[in-house]
Amino acid sequence: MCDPISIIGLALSVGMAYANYAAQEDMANQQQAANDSWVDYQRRQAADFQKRDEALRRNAEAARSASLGELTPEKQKAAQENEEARLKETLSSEDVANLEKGDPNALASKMLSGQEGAGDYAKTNIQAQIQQAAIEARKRIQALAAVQSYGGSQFGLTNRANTILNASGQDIRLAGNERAGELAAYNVAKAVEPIKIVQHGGQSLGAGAAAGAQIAGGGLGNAMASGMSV
Amino acid sequence: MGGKSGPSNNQMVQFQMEQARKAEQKENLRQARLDQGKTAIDELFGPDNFGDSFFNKYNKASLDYALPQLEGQYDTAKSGMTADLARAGLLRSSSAGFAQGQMENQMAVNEAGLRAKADTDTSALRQSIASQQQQAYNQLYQTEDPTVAANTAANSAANAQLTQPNTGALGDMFKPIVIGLGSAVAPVYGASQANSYLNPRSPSGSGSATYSNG
Repeated sequence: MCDPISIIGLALSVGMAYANYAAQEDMANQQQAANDSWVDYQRRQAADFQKRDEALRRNAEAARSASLGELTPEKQKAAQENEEARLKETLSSEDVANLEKGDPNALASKMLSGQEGAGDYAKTNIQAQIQQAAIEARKRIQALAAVQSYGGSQFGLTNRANTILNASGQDIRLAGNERAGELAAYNVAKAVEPIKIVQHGGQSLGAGAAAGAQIAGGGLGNAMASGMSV
Repeated sequence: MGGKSGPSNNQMVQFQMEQARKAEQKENLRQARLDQGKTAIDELFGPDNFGDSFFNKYNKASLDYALPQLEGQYDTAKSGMTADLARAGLLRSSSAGFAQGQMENQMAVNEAGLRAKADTDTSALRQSIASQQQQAYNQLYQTEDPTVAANTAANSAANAQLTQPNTGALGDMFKPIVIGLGSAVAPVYGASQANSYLNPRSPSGSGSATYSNG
């Protein structure tokens, strides 16, 4: 029953099974190491990306909050008042301002030719009316300055707000653009696959085991046949 | 007999990592170009070139064109008024003061209107320059479009996937000779042995029963 061929076949099968097991264990260990390395790589890439992304987000946030800080009601009111004061001075000539103040030289310069010889009463009356006209004109001009300071003047609220929002908008846009670029670069890193470990010649082991079993089977068959011999 | 384990896609992974490094380097360079471009635009449209002096010059030119016309009309009107008052014998009266006041008021308000218009025009010029700056920014961002860069980087890796060689194990191209011999011999040997045992040993000759392995 137990001829040497069968014993050899069985031993061969056992040996091959063990070799196969050892090879698979080695492959599993290598795959585990490769996976660990891949996870480590991905973790580093993710951390770097998060760090850069957060820094850029902070840049954008700083620009946004800074612009918002410049557009508070108090600052806008102060800006409007400054612009109104500037326009009040800019829109009327120095001459009108002097007339408003009652500057004698300015008032005398406005007298018509032929009025030099007028009496003091008449002169005073004429100059008073000219001064009053200048005062009224300056009031209108001040109103115009106030209106302009809210809108279309150089440093009016509209222009000021646009300038501030444009500047911060560009900073936010730059940060956003760079964040998009960082994300794109990170996506390339994220697509890196883990190393795949395979068993070279692994089928040979199976085939060897099968052949061994076949030999053993053949030997066993022979042994049985000889036992059945008449 | 024992199968050795090893990486099957090492080259591909190395290539992918190289692509990732290159994508990061390219992104750094792109960001540097963006920063440089933005700085250049900011300088170009900044106070050195388009500061208050630039806009004040425009404002002054605008006023230098408009105000002399106003002053000319004022002088003409003043002369006419003087003559009219003289003809009426009212040159030294309070009526003359009223008329002079009206004229000075109109002059001041008209001048303010022209100055306000010049200021508004200067404001429009500022907006125009700011708009040019925005267009320059737009062109910069179009040139350095991150989606284009992203697609390029991702596609280079994806195309490489399509064209990568088969780096997997080939499998068994050759069977070990010892196995081949064993496999080939064992069935024939077994059948021969079985037949030799199945043949009955009759006194008249050999039996007819035969075992066939096929």
